[in-house]
Amino acid sequence: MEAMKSYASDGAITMKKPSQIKEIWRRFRKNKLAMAGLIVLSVMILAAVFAEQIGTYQSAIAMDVKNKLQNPSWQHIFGTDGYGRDLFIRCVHGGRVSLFIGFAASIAGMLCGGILGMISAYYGNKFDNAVMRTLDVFSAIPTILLALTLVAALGQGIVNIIVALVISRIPAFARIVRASTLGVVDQDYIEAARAGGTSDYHIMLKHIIPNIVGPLIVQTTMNVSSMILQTASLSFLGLGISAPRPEWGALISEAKEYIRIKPFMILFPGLCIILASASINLLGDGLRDALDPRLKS
Amino acid sequence: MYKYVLKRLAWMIPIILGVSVIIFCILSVTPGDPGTFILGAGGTQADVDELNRKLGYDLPAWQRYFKYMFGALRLDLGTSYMTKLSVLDEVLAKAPVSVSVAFLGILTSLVIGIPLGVLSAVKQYSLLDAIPTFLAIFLAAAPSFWVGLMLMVFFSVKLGWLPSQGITSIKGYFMPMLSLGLIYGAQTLRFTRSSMLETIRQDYVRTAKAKGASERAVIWKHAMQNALLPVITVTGNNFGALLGGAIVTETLFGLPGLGTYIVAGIKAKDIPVVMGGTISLAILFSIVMLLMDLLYAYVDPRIKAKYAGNRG
Repeated sequence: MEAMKSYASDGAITMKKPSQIKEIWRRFRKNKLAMAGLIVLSVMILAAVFAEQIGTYQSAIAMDVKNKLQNPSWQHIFGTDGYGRDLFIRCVHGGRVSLFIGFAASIAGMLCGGILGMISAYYGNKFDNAVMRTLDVFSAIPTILLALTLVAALGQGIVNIIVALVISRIPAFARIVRASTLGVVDQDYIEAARAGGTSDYHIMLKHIIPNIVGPLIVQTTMNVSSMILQTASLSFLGLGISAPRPEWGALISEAKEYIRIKPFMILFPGLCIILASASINLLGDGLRDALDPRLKS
Repeated sequence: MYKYVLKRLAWMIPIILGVSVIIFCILSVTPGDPGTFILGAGGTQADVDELNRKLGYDLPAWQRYFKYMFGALRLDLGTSYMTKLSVLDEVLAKAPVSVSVAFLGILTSLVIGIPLGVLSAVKQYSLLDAIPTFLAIFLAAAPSFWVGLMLMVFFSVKLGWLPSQGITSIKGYFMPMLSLGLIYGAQTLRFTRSSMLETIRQDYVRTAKAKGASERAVIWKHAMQNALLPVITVTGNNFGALLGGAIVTETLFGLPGLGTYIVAGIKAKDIPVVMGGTISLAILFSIVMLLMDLLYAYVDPRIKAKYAGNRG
């Protein structure tokens, strides 16, 4: 039994060998666009983390009607909104919410959908069939509509929005992980591990996950940007983050009122979203190429 | 092939049932009741209960579900709690708007995406590749309503050419069409580019070049046909997604489509509206997906052969 255990841990192909990470990083660094994405995203994440130091949350929500609707100036580089609040500070604090929801929902979605997809592919047959047919049903409901009804049921709040986004994305994640798992589940080394008496749990954890983790990291990264866009859409439809808390999508919908007089108010939060999600997409592209150079186009 | 189509049509029944159960369950746990919503703060508890009873809302959830679904079997999707209008009539009036906006958007995305995608693949690493690719990265990262608002700023506010809301004139379709076309066109461009790059490296393309076919003939005749196959799949999926996913665009431009109808229903907890709207969307979605699969089989003989093989 002891021998079996050591076989299991030795036999696993670990992604986390330092040399391999170094190799991936070396390939990644060569991709200029991906590096640019990484740098921009890091700056935005830092700004979100230290938002309180850039401008307090209180100043982001406190009204100052005297200074309302000012054009961009050195004092307010993005100008001020209809209540006189500095738009730059609101964008920074909005980033905190948008980026947090984006990353949290994407990682949680990958974990929930991933476990479902992997188990489904591993056990196959009737169980797999039942899971896939259920997912077919969910897929016939547009994602945004499902998220919208869920937010209406759960109530508006950061955690509820994350839950709604995760549930509405589970089918997509489960399908991706299922497809990756099907690619390795028939391999000889899985058969060998099974013949050696390794438990199903152990096989999935030590033999399947390490072999599919690369593409999953890429998918999770890419999904952060669609989650940010989805959150923005929910806010725009009036069932997202509620006022006065700033969120990039909510900032755009608040600015919509002033489209005729102050169109720049729409421009800046939109550029924040574009900058963040373009960086994430480029980073994901770079990661994909670095993790598997064969796929490089 | 017919057997396959019939099978797919039959499969729509459990899908629709599943969709109705999911949506009904979510709506049942949504707080609030229609009586309170319609009467607002002014209604007494007795009035609210009376109205709820009239609307049939006093029954337990499972009874309301079966009542609704048996009605749906007879093509009765109920009447809206708020407006008292027949949901079926409303859906039939609104679906054409949604379908035509989705269709026009997809068409525009193809018109923008395919030529630019081919161009950037053929002129790889040149400025003609860099500019479209940059624009595609930018647009793929933009929220659709932001793109729509920017178009509004330009066409309605600055130039005053187009109405920002509604489709009272044909002009109203232009901005929704363009904003969807730009966003999905960015995706089409990326797919066309990578698929084209892969195709022009194939042996048969080299052979065609070697035997002296002109560059233009090689690209448009030999490479194009194969390069477009993956683009068709993506376009099909996009069209399906757009039917319901254009909710945001519909809301932004005030289009009387299924999307705005369902969103209003969700906000007012108007159960018949949300149920009827979502079921109709799911039916539309399934039909579009089936048509796309058939189209795919039509353009790719390999897939047709597979269906034919399965028949026995």
